This record gives sequence, structure tokens and C-alpha cells, in this order.
Amino acid sequence: MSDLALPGSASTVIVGGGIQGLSLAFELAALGRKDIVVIDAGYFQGGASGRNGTMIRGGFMSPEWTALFALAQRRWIELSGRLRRNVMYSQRGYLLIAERAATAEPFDRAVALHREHGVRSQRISKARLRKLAPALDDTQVLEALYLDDGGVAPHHAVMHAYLEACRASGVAVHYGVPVKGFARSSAGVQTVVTELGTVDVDSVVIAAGAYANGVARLAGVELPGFAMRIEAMALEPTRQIIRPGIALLDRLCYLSQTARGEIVGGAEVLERPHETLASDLPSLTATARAYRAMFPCLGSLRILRHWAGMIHVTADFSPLIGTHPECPNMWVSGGWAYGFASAPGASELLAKAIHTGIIDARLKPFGIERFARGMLVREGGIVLAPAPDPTSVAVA
Amino acid sequence: MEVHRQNAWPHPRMDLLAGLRAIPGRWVRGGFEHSRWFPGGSRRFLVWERLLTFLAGEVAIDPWRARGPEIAGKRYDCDEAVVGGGPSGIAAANAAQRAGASVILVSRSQDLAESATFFGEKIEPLHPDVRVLLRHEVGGVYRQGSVLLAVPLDPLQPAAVIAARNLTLAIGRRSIPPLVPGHDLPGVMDVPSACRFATTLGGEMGRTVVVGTGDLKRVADALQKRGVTIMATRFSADIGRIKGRNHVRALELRDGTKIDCDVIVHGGPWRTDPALGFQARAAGSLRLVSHECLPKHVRYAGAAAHAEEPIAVSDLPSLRSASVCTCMDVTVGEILDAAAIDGGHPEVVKRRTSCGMGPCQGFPCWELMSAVLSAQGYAIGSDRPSYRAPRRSITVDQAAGVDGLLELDP
Repeated sequence: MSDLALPGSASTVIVGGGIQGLSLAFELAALGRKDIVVIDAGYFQGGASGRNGTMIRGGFMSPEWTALFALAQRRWIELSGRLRRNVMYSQRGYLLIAERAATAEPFDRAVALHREHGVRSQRISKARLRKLAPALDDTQVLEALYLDDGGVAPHHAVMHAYLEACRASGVAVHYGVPVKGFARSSAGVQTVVTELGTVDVDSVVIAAGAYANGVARLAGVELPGFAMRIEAMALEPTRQIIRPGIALLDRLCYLSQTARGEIVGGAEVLERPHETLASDLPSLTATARAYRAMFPCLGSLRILRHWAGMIHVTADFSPLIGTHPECPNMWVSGGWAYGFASAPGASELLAKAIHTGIIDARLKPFGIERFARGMLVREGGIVLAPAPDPTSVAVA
Repeated sequence: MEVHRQNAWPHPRMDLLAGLRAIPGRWVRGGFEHSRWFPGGSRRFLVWERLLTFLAGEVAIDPWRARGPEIAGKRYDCDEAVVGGGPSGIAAANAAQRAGASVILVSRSQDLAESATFFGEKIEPLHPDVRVLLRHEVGGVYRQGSVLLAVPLDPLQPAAVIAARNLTLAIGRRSIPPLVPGHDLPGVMDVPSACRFATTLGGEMGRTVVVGTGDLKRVADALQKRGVTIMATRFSADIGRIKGRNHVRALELRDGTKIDCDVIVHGGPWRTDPALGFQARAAGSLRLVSHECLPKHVRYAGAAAHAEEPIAVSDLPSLRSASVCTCMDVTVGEILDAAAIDGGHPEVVKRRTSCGMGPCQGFPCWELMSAVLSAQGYAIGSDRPSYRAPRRSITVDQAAGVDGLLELDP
């Protein structure tokens, strides 16, 4: 899986070969940057990029998220052509379901916001909902918001497409190579130290997902956020029964059906941060309860498997993108809870920022300094357990 | 015997999908989903994907189907949980019960020690105070082996969460099918299945060959006693291929000899299903890895504790068409090709080929996969992808019924 040896120097070393790292490497190479190296401590697709729910949408409730994800959504549609490999993006639509008035209340504003950013969305009637999602028990649904261009893309297709496209554009990608340390001066990181040798660099990017904090600490700097376990499960395959991606906002539950018929999704349980890939029973049963309540026809299906993945979350559950204030040539692409959906857009903007030094307005709200300045980005339309009180979470 | 469900359309008696079997396997290697003719993001892809889902799905379910009855789960707390109702499971349960522990024994079978009884072994009676869950499968082990999920084979019965101080895995060993072309044909079965068929069908089972390792005569004799016609017994290492189109017709040995038969029973190589043991000790944040030692409160008993037997892999190039994972239709050739592109990392090969991602969730197919990778020279040892519970044992309704019975991990 590894290209044979590490070069002695590189323009950019990206730590993390998940979808963020690979898409960023691809975008940097597309801008003409040479000598890009991606290193990853784990195995290909071993992190959250191979464990997530694969659901993609451009519209959220906050302008900050919507601006960023609207771009990603447009890029997803073109991605197979751009990478010259089939990423299997299936534009089946995406449903946001509200069961409470407070959850449905911002839907109208969201539709206007989405329109502003070129994302097609609409509140839909019960009759339309029944047609789009016959399996959903609509007696409990108060309002539904439909995003026409949303959909799903299987991680194996996307990740292979990015990996192969990276290699075809000259990016060196190495798995199973942990970073041991960084040699740095006041100007920033000068050398990346690994088991395979050292690499002198102009800039470093931390795109290490749940492991971001540990990697940053090797350079003597702290990152906001912490690692969190998220779990998902797959049901035995059936013929297509769930067409769009569906997020049940009030149940912190999401699901979609893969091309081979498995229904994949999960419901969040409130738990302390766990740094493990071992799955646990409560999330399995909570997901089953949510399915049973909202999709009665799934009740008799068997659960094929259940697994855990880890993500890096910040106190406001929003992404963390930009340079580190104490280490100017260290860039971060972290805090991703919806990282899979964001990658084609976020990486395009971050690549431009790294290559030209000009930070796009859509990235600025997600800078690392926002916590120190108290400029948190609150997004209400995501399926994640409510943010823990930021003051009680050690930034670790 | 009647098959109630299979991937057939429009009806099992008139299956038009069977025509797809005429497509040569090499045309659709790795699945045909990646075709460049149907790029993601296009309208064409949506139609294509619908067709794929239709072909992949075994069952069609009615989206308007009413909610099933609530199946309130159960919770048991005990000192000792024993998985497996064979002689060593019974012995372990009795010993713990005599020592004053509260014991629960979980067995997949209707009767305890089914196999041992078939072979005429003398069975120690189970202590009457041991609580027994028969026809239950342990779908998963959580929290370093201190929590078990036991699921009845009847999908309308409640599942159980068992919190146990100690866990004994007396799960015995299972036979790995011979890694030769045709081992996935109907008519190839392991010893416990053969025992069940022999008990009900006897002489109607057809001409039978017993293959495997160790004492094959014992298996052959026990089957013969029930009226089964035994044609031969042969060691796994001597088998060349299993011939037939829709079912077994003959066994061909490596020396070219052909034995006509309808049934092939494999008894070995014997291996312990690693899933529960893996779940009891797996840890890690970069990768879920199983430590060498089980936690102190978990142990294997009986045959499950024996060393794994080697899988005979000879002449890999001639095995390319042999199936490795029958659920997801993965062949030896596909495993080798995936490893050539991505390297031999078991997790990576699993993701590339989907090997082991079907209903059996990795056993026995990852045993075959790792034997193939080792034979090709990848130094993977006993490395396997992570075993993910609950392995198609529990329905959504059953799982919803146990929600709230286990507190969150502190």
C-alpha cells in the first residue's frame, strides 16, 4: 500500500490519509503544487472515512455551514468526471425530518438560506413525503425538508477514486507510517520525523481526524477539540426501500440504503468521549428503537453488523480549518463530524489557502482562534449528540 | 425440503435472475457497480444503482408493513456465563454451579450436546440450577467480555442482555470448507449439518463422501449407522476440485481420480470461530486489534481452546476460481488481485473485495482469505479484520426491546 520510501523533502506533508487528506492532496496537486506527501498511521480506509454513513447534503441551518457544504455539494456532482473514476455519487435526495415544532421552526429560514447559496430545498407536503419515503411512519412527522441534490456515495468507491487520482497526479501516499515528531523553529515546522525517515517541509497539514490533538502536540501546540466515538450499523440487504438519505433530527438518527441493499445508519447516545473503536450495545439498541419507531417495516430485518468510528469534534461541533496561530506553517483540517460530505469543497478552498495564502471567506468562520475569541459557530441541523458544555471539556 | 427464500425473481419456481449466471465471472470481477458507463452524479447512475440494489437484495419488503409486536427484552445478571451446550459447556457450567456461582448457559441447539449424542458419547447431566437459554445465539460480546447479547433463533422471542462476571466460551470448533473450486456448491456441508440431515433423511441423503482431517472414519461410521451411503473418506489435502453445476456431482482428487457423489461432508480442518474471543479482548483506536491473552475473566473451554488446524492451500494459480466468501461472491483470484493492488493488509483486502461482509460476517471466509494471503507470501500470521457484532443474529424489533436494559459505559 505504501509508495516505497519517503522523500527527504517535500513542499507539503499531509498527516492523515482519510478523505480530507487525500482530497486536499489532490486539490493541491491540481493547483500545480509538487512534492506532496500524505502519511497515515493506520491502514487505508481504516479511520472515519471508511466508517461513516456516507450521506451528503449541501444545506444546513447556519449560513457558515451552508456556504461551505453548498460548494461541496456542487463538487460531488462533478466528482466522478474530475477524478476520472466512478465515485458512485447517487443523487437520491436528502430528507430532514422534524417531529417537534422547535425543530421545524427554522425550516423556512433554511430554505431561503439554501436558495441564497444555490442549494435546492423545499418543505414538502405529507403526500410528497409518503411518495419519497413510503417506509417512514409519517404520523409522527411534523415537517419535512427535502434537499433535491443530496444523496449518498459509498466510501470504498470514493476513497479508491481519490487515492488513485492522487497517485496519478504524483502525490506520494503512505499508510502505516505514524508521525514520531516535528522539528520546528519559531517560523513553524521544519521537519517531519517518521519511522521511515525525516522529511523537510515548507508546510504541514494535520488532517488526522480523531488523532489530530495528539499529532499537534508532537509539534508542541494544542488544538481545540477531542476524539469522540460514533457508532453505526447495517441491516441485511433488501431490495430498495429507502431512497433518499434521511436524518431524523429529533432522534439524532440518520440512515440510507446502499447500492447493495444494506440499510446503514445510526442514532447517537449521550455518552462521554471514548477513545476506542470497540462498539457497545446502547448505541445499537438506541438505533433499533429509532428505526422501529419511525420505520415499522424495518422491524423484522436482522442487523448485519455494528461498528464504531472516531471523529474529532470541537466544542461547537463545527469544523476546524486554518493555520495554527502558534505555528504559522501548520494547517489544520479537523473538527469534522460531516467530513465525508464536506471534503470535495472544503479541500478545494483549503488547498487554495495553502497554495496562495488567501483564505476564502467561506473558511474564515472555522478558524482555530474562534474559541479564544468566543466566535463559536452554532449549527442546529446536524445529527450529533448535543455539544457538551465547552467549559467542562478539557481541550485535549 | 423446501426453500422459502432465495434471490429469485419473479418467483423461485420461475427465476429469470438465474439467467445472469451465464455472464462469465471475469466480466464482473469486484462487482459491476464501478462501471465507467454509469458515473456517479448522473441520472444514468440512479437507474443503474436501482438495478444493482434490486439484484443484490435477497428480499423485497413492503414499505407499508405495519409495526410488529413489541418484543420486550430480558436482562440477566450472573456470576458465570457459558456459551455452548456441548459436553465441555455442560462441564464448565456444572463446575461453576457446584462452586456456588449463579450460572447461565446459552446454546444454539434445541437439545444440549446434540453432536456428542449423535456420536454416541456419554453426556454428563446439566445441574438443575443452571439457567439455560436454548435455541439462543450469542450475537456479540461487549465490554471486555462482561456483557453478552443472547438472541433467540425465533425472531419473535425476546433477546437477552447478560451481564456476567466470568465468561466461558465452550463453543467448540467448526470445520472450514476445503479451499477448492466447487466447495460452495449445494451438497457440500459440515459435520453438524450432515448429522441433522442424516437423522431426518437417512438413506435419502444421497451418495456421500467424507473429507477433512483427523478421524474421518468416525464421522463416516456414524453417518452410515443412520443409513447414509458412504462412498469414500479422503483427506482435505488430497482434494482437487468439487464438480457439478447446480449441485455436487463428483469429487475429483488431486491425482485425477473421480468419485461420483451427491453430498460432500467436510470434517476439518477444525478451527474455533474467533469472533466472540476477539470481541472480548479487542481494543485500539487506530485499529481494533485482538491482544494475545484473553482478559482474566474470559476463557475458552473444551475443543475451542485447541490450536487451529492448518488449511491446505496448494497450487494457488489453479484455485483462482475457487470461492473464498460465498455470501459476497469473492474468489481466490479476486483476493489475489486486490492484494496485488493494495497490499495484503486483511482490513484493506476486506474493504476492497467485501470478503466477509455478508451474513456470516467473516467466519469461515476470513480463515480462507488469510490462508490465501499467507500462501501468496503476505506475512499476516493470524491477523484478521475485526469481527463486528451482532452478526445478523438479532432483528431490529428484538434489539429495540433490549434498549435501556444496559446502562451506558461509565
